[in-house]
Amino acid sequence: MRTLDWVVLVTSLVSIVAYGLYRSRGSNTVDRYLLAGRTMPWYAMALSIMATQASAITFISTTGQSYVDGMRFVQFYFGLPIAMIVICSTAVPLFHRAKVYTAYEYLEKRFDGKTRTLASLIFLAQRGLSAGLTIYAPALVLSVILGWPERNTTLLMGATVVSYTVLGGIKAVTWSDVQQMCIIFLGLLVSLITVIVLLPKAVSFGDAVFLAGAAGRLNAVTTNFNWNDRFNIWSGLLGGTFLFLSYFGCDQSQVQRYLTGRSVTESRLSLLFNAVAKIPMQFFILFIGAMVFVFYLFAQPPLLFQHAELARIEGRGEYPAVADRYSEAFEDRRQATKALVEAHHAGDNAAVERATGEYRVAQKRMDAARAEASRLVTLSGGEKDFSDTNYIFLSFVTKYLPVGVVGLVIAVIFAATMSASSGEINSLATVTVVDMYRRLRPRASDHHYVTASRFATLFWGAYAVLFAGWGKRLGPLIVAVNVVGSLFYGSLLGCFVLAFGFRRVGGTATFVGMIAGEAAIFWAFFFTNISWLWYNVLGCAAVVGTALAITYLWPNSGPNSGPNSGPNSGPNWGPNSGSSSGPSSAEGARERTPLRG
Amino acid sequence: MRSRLFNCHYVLMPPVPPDHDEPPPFLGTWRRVYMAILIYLGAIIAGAYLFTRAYR
Repeated sequence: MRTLDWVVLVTSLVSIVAYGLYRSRGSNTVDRYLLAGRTMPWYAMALSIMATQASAITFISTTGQSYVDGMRFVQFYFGLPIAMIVICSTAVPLFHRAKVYTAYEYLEKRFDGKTRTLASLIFLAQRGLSAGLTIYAPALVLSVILGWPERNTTLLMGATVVSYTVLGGIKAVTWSDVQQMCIIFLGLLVSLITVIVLLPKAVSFGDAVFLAGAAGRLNAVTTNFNWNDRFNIWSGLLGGTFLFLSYFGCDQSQVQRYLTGRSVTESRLSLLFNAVAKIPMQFFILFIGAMVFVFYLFAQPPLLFQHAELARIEGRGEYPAVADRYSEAFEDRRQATKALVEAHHAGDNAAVERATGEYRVAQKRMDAARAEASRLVTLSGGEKDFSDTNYIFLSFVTKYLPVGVVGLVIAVIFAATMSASSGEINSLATVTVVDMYRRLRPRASDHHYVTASRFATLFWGAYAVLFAGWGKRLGPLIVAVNVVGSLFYGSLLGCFVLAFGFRRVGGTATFVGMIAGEAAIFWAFFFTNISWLWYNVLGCAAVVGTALAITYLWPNSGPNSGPNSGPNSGPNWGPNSGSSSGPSSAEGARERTPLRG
Repeated sequence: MRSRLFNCHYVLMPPVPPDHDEPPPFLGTWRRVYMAILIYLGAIIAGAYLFTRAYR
């Protein structure tokens, strides 16, 4: 990082935070602090939703994943547009009409208090863990660039995000997200252009795409079905749909984005924008990773991209031989790549096949040398199953990108972290206060709840920072985040499916169903090799199946037998209770009737 | 008993009142908007498949 990089980075971050805080003036009531007074336009919500989902992990880990495994991760997003359509036609109008602060508040209106509490606890557990990972990723960036211990950088990142979120509330979060997404789009575009410009002069963009394809890095669609394969078109369409239904329909960190909308239409448009834009965006990010791979066909990549671990093994007796094998294999791969480009230019198919074969042999030798180096890391006291996937893009950025662009890319990663973390922490605080705290102290003043929300934000920020230390043990970050989510999302989704679609199922049946769903998911996690993308399907099916069975076997467990205390049981929000707490108003009572039959 | 179980399978989404279900700003109805997005998804998947085939 040179002076210009620091100037770009600091200017970007300060302007984002300042703009967000400026737009959040007047967020001094609960309604404004947590839901922006329900005044947000669709484009702000759309970019906020996108920014909340696209954390720094998206840029650090996805590019690395594309480098080592190709672009097939994009299939994971194929279910997203389907999920958005379902949510737009079901959850969005219901949540808006119920005038809830959280998705789980709706569950008490539909079922009972214990179901709402269980759903809230499940959300708090899983989103709290994810929030830690979200902070860990950019802390990793600072650690690489500044040479600081990861613990210190984690603490710094967490403190920045928490202070900004505590001060601004959701309005600051949302308007900052808008700016952050603009910087992210700019940074991505500049990164791709820079990678292509850095390729050797004899290699055109068309050649680069051809080489990436020949190396198996443009495998965007895999049609083979395999339960244990995380990324194929079937797991993406079915498993992905369930995961995104859970994420956008039941996860407060997303639901809260579109609850801030002026109307149902504005909220729907914000989600549908993501349905259209998300897949091309992920494709674009993965494509950058593939181009970085092509770049490294001509410039020797380090044996390990994580410099600290490389330094750790350099003193070992086995290291020189491994490094020599790696360098020889790289030189052979480079020659094969050159031959491949020439054969491609000449249109000589036989020569293309021959050069491709030589290329693949050399690539296998490089992979073997890297695997040996990873083994040395473990033998030297490093992580078991060491993986440096998360360091690939960062290593490339800091070593090869020109001055100024490095600062911009780092700003992108910071912006993404701030947007994702602030959204997560804000939603965790909202659920803590709305679904937990105000039920214990239902008659406090509006100001009291705003203060409680700020303290809850502080608490969850500290929790996320503490958990961040555990993140590196979970493998590639992008996968880790989704694994954590998948352990809990299936049950939440099953609960909302019952709420929206099965009138006769009551609170007790749903409550037991959710416990059964969690049991099924954890059984699959610990005792089977089923890919995590299927956990949501499994969990949802277990919840719905169990609840229906209970309703069938014990009809008295139906909707009228639960401890739901009726439309007037909701605690007050003080002066805003008439409009915000839904069920306590006449409108809420009228609208609740059809849900309960 | 059987009929009671199937009773659970009714599609019981309460109809959204007309004043809440404003028409979208384009294509006239939400149903058409959703259909357009499904067609778009199909085109994206087909494009990604052809891309994979062309460069493998």
